[in-house]
Amino acid sequence: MAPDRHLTLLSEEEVEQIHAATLQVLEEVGLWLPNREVLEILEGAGAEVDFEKHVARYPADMVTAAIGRFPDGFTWYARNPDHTIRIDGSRTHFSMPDSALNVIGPDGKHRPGVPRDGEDICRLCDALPNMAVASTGINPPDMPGGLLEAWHTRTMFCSSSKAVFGVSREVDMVLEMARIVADTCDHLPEGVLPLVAIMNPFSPLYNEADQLAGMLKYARKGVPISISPEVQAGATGPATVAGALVQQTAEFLGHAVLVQCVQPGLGVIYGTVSSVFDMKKMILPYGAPEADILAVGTVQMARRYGIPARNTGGSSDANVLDMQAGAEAMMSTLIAILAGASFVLHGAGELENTMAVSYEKILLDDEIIDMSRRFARGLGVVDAETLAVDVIKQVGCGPPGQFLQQPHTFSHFRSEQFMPRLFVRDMYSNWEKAGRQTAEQRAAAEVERILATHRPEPLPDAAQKEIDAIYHAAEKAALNK
Amino acid sequence: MAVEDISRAVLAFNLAGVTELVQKEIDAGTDIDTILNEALIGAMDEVGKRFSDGELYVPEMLMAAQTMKAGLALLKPHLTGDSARAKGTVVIGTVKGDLHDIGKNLVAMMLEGAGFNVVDLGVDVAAETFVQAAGDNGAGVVALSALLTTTMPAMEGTIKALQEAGLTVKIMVGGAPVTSGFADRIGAQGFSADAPGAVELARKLMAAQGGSS
Ligand code: B1M
Repeated sequence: MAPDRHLTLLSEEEVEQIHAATLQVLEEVGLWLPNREVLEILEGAGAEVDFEKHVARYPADMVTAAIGRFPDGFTWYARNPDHTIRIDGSRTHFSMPDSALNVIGPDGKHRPGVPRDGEDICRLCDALPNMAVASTGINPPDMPGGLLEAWHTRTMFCSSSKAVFGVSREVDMVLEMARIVADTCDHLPEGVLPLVAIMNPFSPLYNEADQLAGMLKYARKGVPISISPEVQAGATGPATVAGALVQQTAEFLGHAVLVQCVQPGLGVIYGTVSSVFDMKKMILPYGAPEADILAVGTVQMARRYGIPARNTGGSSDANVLDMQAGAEAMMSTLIAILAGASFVLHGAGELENTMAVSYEKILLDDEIIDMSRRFARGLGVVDAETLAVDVIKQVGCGPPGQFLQQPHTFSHFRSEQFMPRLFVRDMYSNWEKAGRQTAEQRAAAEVERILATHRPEPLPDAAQKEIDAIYHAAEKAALNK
Repeated sequence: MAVEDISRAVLAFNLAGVTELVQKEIDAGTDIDTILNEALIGAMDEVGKRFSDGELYVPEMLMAAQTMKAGLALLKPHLTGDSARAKGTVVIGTVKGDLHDIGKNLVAMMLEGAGFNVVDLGVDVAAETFVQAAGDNGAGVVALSALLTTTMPAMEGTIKALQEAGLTVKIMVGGAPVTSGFADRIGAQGFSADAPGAVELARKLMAAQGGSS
C-alpha cells in the first residue's frame, strides 16, 4: 500500500502535540532505571541523572539528537535467506503469541501447554505463508527460568527456518545460539546475527536492572531492538487514550535514546502492547478498540520519528474460538496492516487475554491476514487495463452480455480475488452434502495435515549439536537449582 | 440520622462531607464503634455489593475507599482494644522474581478498603522478607501474588519458609496463572482468582485465625 494511503487517526497537528507532551514528560519526569551503567551512559549523553533515586531526565535536544540517529529500517535476517525480511514499514510481518500458558489443541481440548506444543506451533509457523517470525506460542508451565529461555530460543531456531526474536532474559545464551546459527549461513553480513531483541519497558516510566543489562548486551552486538511499552490506561498510565500514548511514547523514546547512545544508528522498533485497563474485570483487554487506537497512534508516532512500528494483531480476550474471537482478531489484524505496522507479535492464534493459543485459530488468523492484505491492496494499479472500458464496450449493455468468457476476465480474476482457503463459501445444500464443515473444522483438519507432513529445513548437524549442548547445560543447571 | 448521612457521603465519594460529618459525630459523643461499623464499614460493604452487581467500577470503588479512610483517620485516636485491632493484619507482596504489581496493588487497596491493616512489601519480595514482616507485624494472613509460571515456585518456597519459622499465619495466593489446584499442592490455605474474592477469602482466613472479623 502506498505510504500516503496509511490509515491514520491523528492529524499532523495532533502528532506534534503528542510529541511535545512526550518531550515534556521525558524532561520533567524522566525514567526510573535502576541500573548504574545505564544511568552513567545517559548522563554522559546529556541526561540529568539522580543516581540515588535511579532517575534520568532527558533534555529535549538530547532526545532530538538521538531521533536523528534512528535508521528508517533494517533487515531481519533468517537462517533461510528466503525468509529474511525488511522491517521498514513496507510490509506487515506477522507472528504468534510467545508466552501463553494454555493450548487449545486440534482435538478442541483446553489444557496446559507442554514443550511438544511449542515445537508443533513453531512448525505451523514455519509452514504458514503469512507467518514471518518464529514463535513457540507458549511458556510450558513447569519450565523454570533459565531453561525456559534456552528452550524458546532452541525451538525457534530448530523448528523453523524463519526469522527469530531474542527474549529479554539469558541474553548471553541467546547471543551464543544466534552466533552458532549465523556461522552456518553465507548470506549474513560479517558480524550480523539473525535476531531482533524484544523488550518491554514497565509502566509508568521504568524498567528493571536485568532487562536493562540485557538490552545493553543486545545493543553492543548490533542486534536491533523492538521496544514495546504496555501501558494499562487508567491503571499504570492515564485513563485518556491520548495521555496513554504520551506516556508510552516517553517510555519508548527513553529506551530508544539509550540504545542510540550505546550503538548509534542501531535499528529500533517502536512497539505497543498497551490497552485500556478494564475497570470491571481488572484485565488488560487486547481486543479493546482503544488498543487499536493506540496501535494506530504508535505507528503514526513511529512514522514521525522515521522508524518502523510493532502492533499486536489477532489477539482476542474470548475464552473459546467464537464470534468474539473472530471479530477482535480481524479488527486488530486489519488495522495493523492498514496503519502500516512492520511487525506483529501477540499474535495469530491468541485467545483468553494472552493466556491461551489455539492451533485452529493460528490458521484462521492466517486467513484473516490474507483477507486484510487483499483489502489493503485496494484497487491496485488504476489504468486503462484495469478500468476495463474496452471490455465493457465489447460486452455492451443488456442481455446476453457476460464477462465469464472474456480474456480480460481470464487474465485478471486470479490476481484480483481473495480465494478463501478455510472460510466457507458454498450453497447450504452443497455444504451439507460435503459434511457441514465449519471454518474451524476445516482449520483443524489443516492443522493435522500440516503437522503430519511439514518438516522444517534442518540445521546442519554440527550446529544442531552445539545448540543442543547449550540446552542440555541449561537443563542440568535447572535440575541442580 | 447522621450515621446514615456518613454512609451516604461515602457512597457519593464526598471526602470533605465525610470528614465533616464524622468530626461532628465524634464531637457529639456518638459511640465510636457505631460510627466505624455502621457508617464507614457499612458503607464499604454496600460499595462492595454495588461493585459485584456491576453498578460501580474500580476507580469509583477506590474513591469510596479513600473517602472511608479519611473518616477512619479521624476515628483512629479514639479506638480502643478490639476495634483498634480492626480486622487484623495482612502482609502482601509479589514473590521473588516477579515484578507485575497492579493486581497485587488492587488486592491491597481492596483489603484496606474492607478495613484490614495492610502491610505492602511491594514486588520481588524474598521469602525471608515475608517471614520477617509477618512476625514483626503480627500478621494473621500473608498474601502472595505471582504472574509468571517461572515465579510460581517461589510461592512454595515462601510458604515453606513461613512454616519453618513457626509462624501460624494463614497463606493465600493469587495471580493470573495461579489455580486452586496449585494453591492446594503448595500448601496455601486459600486461592482467589480476583481482588474482591481475595477480600472474602481474607475475611474467612482471618476468622479462622481468631481475628475480630
Ligand atoms: C494473595 O492473594 C491474591 C489474590 C488474588 C490476586 C493476587 C493475590 N494477585 C493477583 N490476584 C488477582 O486479583 C487481581 C485483580 O482481580 C488479578 O491480578 P492480575 O495481576 O492477574 O491482573 C491485573 C489486575 C491486570 N493484569 C496485569 O497487570 C497483567 C497483564 C499482562 C498483560 C502483563 C503485563 C501488564 C506486564 N508484563 Co507480563 N503481563 C502478563 C499479563 C497477561 C495476563 N493476561 O495476565 C503476563 C503475566 N506476563 C508475561 C510475561 C512472559 C512477562 N511479563 C513481563 C513484564 C510485563 C510488563 C512490565 C510489560 C507488564 C507489567 C507492569 C506492571 N507494573 O505490573 C516480563 C516479566 C517481568 C517480571 N520479572 O515480572 C515477561 C517475562 C515478558 C518479557 N518479555 O520480559 C506472561 C506470563 C506467561 C507465563 N506463562 O508465565 C503473561 C501471562 C502475558 C503473556 N501471555 O505473554 C488477579 O490475578
